[in-house]
Amino acid sequence: MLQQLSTERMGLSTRIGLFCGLMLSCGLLRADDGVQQDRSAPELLPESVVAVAEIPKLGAIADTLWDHPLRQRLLELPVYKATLQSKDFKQFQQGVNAFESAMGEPWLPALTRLTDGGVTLALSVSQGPGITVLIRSSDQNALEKFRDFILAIRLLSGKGKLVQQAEYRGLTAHALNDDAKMVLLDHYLLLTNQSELGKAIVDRYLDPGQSTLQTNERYQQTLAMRNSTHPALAGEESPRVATAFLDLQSLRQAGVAKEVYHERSGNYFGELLLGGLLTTVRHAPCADVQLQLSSSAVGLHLATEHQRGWEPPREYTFGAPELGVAPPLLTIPNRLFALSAHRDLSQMWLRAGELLTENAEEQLAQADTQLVTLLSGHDFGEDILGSFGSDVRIVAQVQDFADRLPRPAIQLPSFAFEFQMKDASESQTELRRIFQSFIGFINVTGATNGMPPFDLGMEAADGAQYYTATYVPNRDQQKNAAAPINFNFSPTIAFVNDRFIVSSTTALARELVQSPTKIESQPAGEETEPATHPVNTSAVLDAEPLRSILQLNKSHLIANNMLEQGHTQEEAAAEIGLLLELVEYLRQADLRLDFNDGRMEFDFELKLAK
Amino acid sequence: MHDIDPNWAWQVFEPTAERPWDRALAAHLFRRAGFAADPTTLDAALTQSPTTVIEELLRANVEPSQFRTTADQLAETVLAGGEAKRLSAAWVYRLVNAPSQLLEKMTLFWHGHFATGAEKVTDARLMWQQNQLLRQYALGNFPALVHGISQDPAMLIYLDSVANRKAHPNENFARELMELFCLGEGNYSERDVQELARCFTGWEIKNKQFRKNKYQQDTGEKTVLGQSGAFDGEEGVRCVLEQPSVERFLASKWYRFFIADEPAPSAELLQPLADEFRKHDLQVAPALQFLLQSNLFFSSHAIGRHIKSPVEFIVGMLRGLQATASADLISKGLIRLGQGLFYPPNVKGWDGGRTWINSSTLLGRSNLLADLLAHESTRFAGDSLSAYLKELGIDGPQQAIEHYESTLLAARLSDEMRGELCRAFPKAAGGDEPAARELLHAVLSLPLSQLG
Repeated sequence: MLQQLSTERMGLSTRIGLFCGLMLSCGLLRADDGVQQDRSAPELLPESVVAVAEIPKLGAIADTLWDHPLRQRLLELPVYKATLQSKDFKQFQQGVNAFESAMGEPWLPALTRLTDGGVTLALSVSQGPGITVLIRSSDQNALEKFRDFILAIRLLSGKGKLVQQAEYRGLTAHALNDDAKMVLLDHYLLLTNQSELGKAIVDRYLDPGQSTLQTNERYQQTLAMRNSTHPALAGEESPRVATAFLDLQSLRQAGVAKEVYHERSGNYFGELLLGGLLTTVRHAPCADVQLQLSSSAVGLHLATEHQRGWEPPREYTFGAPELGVAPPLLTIPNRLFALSAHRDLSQMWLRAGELLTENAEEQLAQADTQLVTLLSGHDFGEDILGSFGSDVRIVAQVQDFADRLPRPAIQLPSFAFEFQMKDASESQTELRRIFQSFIGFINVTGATNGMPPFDLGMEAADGAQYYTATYVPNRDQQKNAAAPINFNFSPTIAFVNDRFIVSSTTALARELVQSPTKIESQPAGEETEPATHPVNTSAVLDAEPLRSILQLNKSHLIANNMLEQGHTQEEAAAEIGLLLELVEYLRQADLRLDFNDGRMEFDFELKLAK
Repeated sequence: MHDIDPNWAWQVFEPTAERPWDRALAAHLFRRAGFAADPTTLDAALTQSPTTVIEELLRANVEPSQFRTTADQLAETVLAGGEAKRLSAAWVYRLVNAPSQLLEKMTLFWHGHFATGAEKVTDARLMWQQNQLLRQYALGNFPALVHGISQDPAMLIYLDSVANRKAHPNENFARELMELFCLGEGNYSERDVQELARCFTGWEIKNKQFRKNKYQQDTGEKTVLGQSGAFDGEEGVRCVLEQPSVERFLASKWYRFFIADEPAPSAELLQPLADEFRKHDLQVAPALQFLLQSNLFFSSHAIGRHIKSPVEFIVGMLRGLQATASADLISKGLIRLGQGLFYPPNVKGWDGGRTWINSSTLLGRSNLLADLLAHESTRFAGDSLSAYLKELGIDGPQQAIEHYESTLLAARLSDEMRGELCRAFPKAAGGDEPAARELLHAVLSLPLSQLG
């Protein structure tokens, strides 16, 4: 019979199913009688565990994803159909078939039943990296079938080499390889790559009362933090599908993810955006992570303790003496992206030596030297950035070239920065002069490269003063519908009260000057702003304008794909088409960072199209 | 070279039992009159006579409109983005995918002949316009090409000839026209340069376009290469093109490009080719047909006597194995290897021959090849190399090496070398993708693989 089973014609799933059945019927694998059934995974895990992810209802997640309308649309994509034919997918499908055969039912109900008590992943670093997976099920029979399925896989991949067994305190442990071990503990199936960690869990299972993760002070602190916040997802009640506890202090001491804890950043813009978050993570003892999922959104929430004493030398992010708050996001029609943050840019520029790596600082120093020349001796950090308050707003908008010529062949979004001037009367003249010098400099360097010159203009309208620079097309470019990329730009600065706007186009500067009235008259039903309470940093990316700009540049994206990947036109068109289709399934991406009540909270949310 | 009989050399090659029209000869033809051919193309060529295959290559003197539209769109995307350096990637795509191999090979030849560098011209669109001009006349009328290049903005900017005033005739273009483009050194005098420069007075580039400024035209009588008259620029070019040195100069360059880098051929050996060129009023295609169908072209005097340029090496590998790869990656690699498209070293173009090879460039070729083979975008007939070889029925390293020899190499490897390769890569072509790619890399990094 065994010879028959090993015949090569037999499919993997059939072989595993029969193997499991055989093992069970022969009584070779026997589950031990349970002694403790009601204890949670944190009550079994040792205190030394430094990271835990808990997924209470894995089946529900799979169910949500499986039934999601997005999945049905993805199934119709040519690329998905092609994936179905790939070798890797066929292997995966074989694995699924084998799982179903072993469990005796389709994979989704089997997974739901198998994990109805939750799945827990834990990391320990006390004796080297040790990973543990605890699967809890109300159906012990399902756990036994799954254990036998794993043993069957191990036996087949080991080319018939027998699985080693060992007894520990009356329980049978199976060695899947030199490191990985598996033990069935009543309603738990324990898998680990570290024997000592496995033994510690078994000890706690058999001997309640020992110190566990549940009694860990930092874990309790994290639970308290978690229970006091339940971030709403897309404005609706949504389940936490996964939570995680990170013992940051122990992880730092163990040298895990060292790059996160570097005091200096190599990326200027990364530092600007997330420097404050990282500096908190470098000090916080623990962190709570929550993942949420609904049919219309996915959200990630990170929370840690925050103390003001941890802020130096990054006070530029936080504000002083009170914690700074970002202004509202700018709202304009066809908005692609907006970011609003509390950042003291002058302070950041001047303290770059303490914040950035040597290389990054060197680059910044070079830029600073060049800017001094361009700024007629003014210091960029002190005089220019120093004249602004700490309210920073950035916005990008899809440009409308429908009725405009020359029309650039590649259509880029326009973008603008908005600052508050500390002393408008003093700064206005200086900033205007710098803008004019800058345009003059561009004209001189552009002329040597055959670029058309900018024409400087000035006008007062809407209570604002505009200083504009417009490319003057030569005669043969005036009606050009495939003009060079520089026709995307008409750099403009605008002063309105204490607001200072630097925009890549005059049209966007005008929109922003008028934007306060537009916010008030925003039609009902439009996308609401993500930040409804004051935060330190807020950003939003709108999918509809993104789709529109990708569509406008589709032929160029295809051409770029051909050059970058060597694809044929058909292949490139399919790849870009897929990208466009995927963007169609998105509605908005939001990011929020906040420091309050001794806590830092970071939220990222991806909203899907309805 | 002096002992080659010109009569035998230029006779039409007729396959015989001793020298049959086989895969090796067909591959040689496609390597020189293009970059390389895949097995299907080679097998199709063997069903026809060599002359018919050559006629077909020459007949494809215009790109199919669909391909042209696609290839031009790539260039337009690059131009719209304003990245002048990336323009070479658009040409790489054409070189790898163009249905008309000989047309593209000749465009590359003329780029080296009428060398113009984007580093100095800076306006990518002008460089692209020149490239289109070279392609338009690549297999056509040489005088029309010379007239076109004489008024080409990129060329005139490159040779500092954007303004040519009668008070100060600019001799640069006049000198290069005779020395580098039409006649060669020793076939004109200093006086001819000065007089020809007078013909070009009033020719200038304004707003990136060629125009004639009649107020700056020297309308007086000039004597150019023995002819006198009140010549303007066009007539000056005509005087140059009527010189018998034109056909000899071009014949000599084509000999080096298509037949052998060295030794230099005798004047007697070249004369029939030169005569053929003149006989057809300096039409390129008939002269190339005369050359490509000759005994000399299919003889041991030509096979393996040419060191592949970096473009021939990389594009040949891709075309021979029906491969596609990132044009961006290739174009950057070609710059490192000294043959950046649109970036010739100077007005003389690339010297070619042995100058392509030294310890540094050989290593550079190997590295570029390794980069390409390691890059995720590199595919063979849309698949992995191992799947491609399997599709061709190739099993094991021995057969893979034989395949590479027959499509990409000018000569067979020694048994010893082949044995070493088989021992080093036993799993190649057995479905093991990394091993298959390593074997290909090893074969193409051999000195023998640098010969075309």
